[in-house]
Amino acid sequence: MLEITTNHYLVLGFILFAIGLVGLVVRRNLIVVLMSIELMLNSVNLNLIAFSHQLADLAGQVFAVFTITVAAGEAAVGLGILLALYRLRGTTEIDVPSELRG
Amino acid sequence: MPAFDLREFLLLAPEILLAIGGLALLLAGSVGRGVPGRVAASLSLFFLVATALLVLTVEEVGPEPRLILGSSFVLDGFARFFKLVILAGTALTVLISVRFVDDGAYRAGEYHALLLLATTGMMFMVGGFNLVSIWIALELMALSSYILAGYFKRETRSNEAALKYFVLGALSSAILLYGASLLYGATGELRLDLLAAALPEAMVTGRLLVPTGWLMLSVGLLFKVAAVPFHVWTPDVYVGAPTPVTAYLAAASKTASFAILVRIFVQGLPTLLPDWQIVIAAVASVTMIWGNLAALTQTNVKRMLAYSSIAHAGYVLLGLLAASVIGLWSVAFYLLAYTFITLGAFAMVVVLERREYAGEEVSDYAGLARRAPWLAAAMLVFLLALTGIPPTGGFVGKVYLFAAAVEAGWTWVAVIGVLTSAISLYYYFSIAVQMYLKESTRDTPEPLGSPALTAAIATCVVATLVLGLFPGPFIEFAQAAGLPLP
Repeated sequence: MLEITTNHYLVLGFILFAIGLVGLVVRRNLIVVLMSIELMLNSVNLNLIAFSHQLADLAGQVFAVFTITVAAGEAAVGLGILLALYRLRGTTEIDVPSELRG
Repeated sequence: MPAFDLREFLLLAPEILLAIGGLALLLAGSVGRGVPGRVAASLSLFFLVATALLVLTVEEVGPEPRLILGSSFVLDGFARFFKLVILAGTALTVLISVRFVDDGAYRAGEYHALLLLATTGMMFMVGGFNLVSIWIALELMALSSYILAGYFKRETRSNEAALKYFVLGALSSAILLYGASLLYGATGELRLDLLAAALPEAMVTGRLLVPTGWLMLSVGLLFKVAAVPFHVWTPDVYVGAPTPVTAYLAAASKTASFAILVRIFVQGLPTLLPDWQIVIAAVASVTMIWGNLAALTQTNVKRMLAYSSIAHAGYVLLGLLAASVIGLWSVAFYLLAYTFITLGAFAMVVVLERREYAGEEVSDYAGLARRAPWLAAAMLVFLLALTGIPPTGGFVGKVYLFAAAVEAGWTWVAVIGVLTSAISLYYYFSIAVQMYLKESTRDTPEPLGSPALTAAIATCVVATLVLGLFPGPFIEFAQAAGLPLP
């Protein structure tokens, strides 16, 4: 029987973070980009809680609770910006020729 | 757990007052037809001044830093100095926003509310002593800034700026947070001083966690100060955002981010000093080189100032690189001077700017010296200061930054700084050439001032010159902002 250790959680967290990072860079749909950001923040939560358990220290869990709260705020702001842009351009794709050169 | 004294909340009175001010404006702005722009701006200024007075009176700063509220925050000279600089920068931003917010047919209440809330975040951030409180304060600042960048919600350009800022900002926050979680895992500490104490042992046991952790943390912080190669968001966001917001991002936001970068590196990661010095040296060099080279080809003044602000981030990094007493106070002094210089330069952009973003080209400054000699003279002062020519605060600040780097043995980085400053003369003075040597045409926009704008520009000119001519008391003020060095 395989025992689940902190390392397993860390690897899982890293994989989730990498998926989020790739999604954010590769995908062009804003909703998917928002989901990728959430995924990255949640991978951090996994890390924090795994460490908190390993170290028997509550601070990590407190940190995770704050992260969840901030992630909710971030999603709200992101959706607000997305909505304003959708009203102007009628699409949620980032690729549409834009006025800013980059 | 350290003792938790409710009376310590009183020591946070400045931040609490500012947050109440922001929320009150938000509430007032959403009732009925909202508050008129001028009323909102006056209230906003009132809260900023009252907060600054509270910072000066309530926060007792002794020779020893004082940790409050379960060591989430620290009261020291460093935090106090940067809180005052940030408040000054925000107050000037409010002054240059008045006409813009009136013009825009958008609600003024929420604009000022967001400005005050972002400033609250910055004040908490520079006083943060714990990775959790620092991160939440940083997010308060960032989330408010994203919305401010998109404040002209019916203009595509402003919206795209907000979007770009949001996506890349969220990415950097996530990277920073991931780094913080790894450092927590390696050391078991979130408090900066305990983290620093636990690092040497953690470097032996958590060989992979510590380097990955601090590198990711640094990437997140360097993104916030817009250092190359984490600067890609800066030009677009600075150009697309409403100009007063751009000024705010370039001045207050950058100052706060630098403050926390310095605090985390000096107080949280002193063990890794030789490692992060190499990273900072590399980042500072490419930032100074790329920021100045890219600015050379710009014809849009906002975009040019965006690259200039990137280049200035490189100069400020020199002080951190030195990691010496003089290095740290020269960072503080330079950020003080830079706040006034950059806000003044952006205030000039506001003067010439019209709806549909006209008046942002370098050629729009043609013949300004004839039409508005005082404004042209003010712009000249800012250009001299940005280049680092006496008798301005920009010169004094740069001299000390370069001196600190040389003293600490980083001569080659300082040499890059001096050479790139010489390059910057070319693009800053293309504006001066337009103002003094070119004739205006019929299409050139007329400067359009307002009493508030004039007051802001006058303050910035006076501050820039005073910092250059009589730097003594301000250097002492900056020296009081020193951090204990490893």
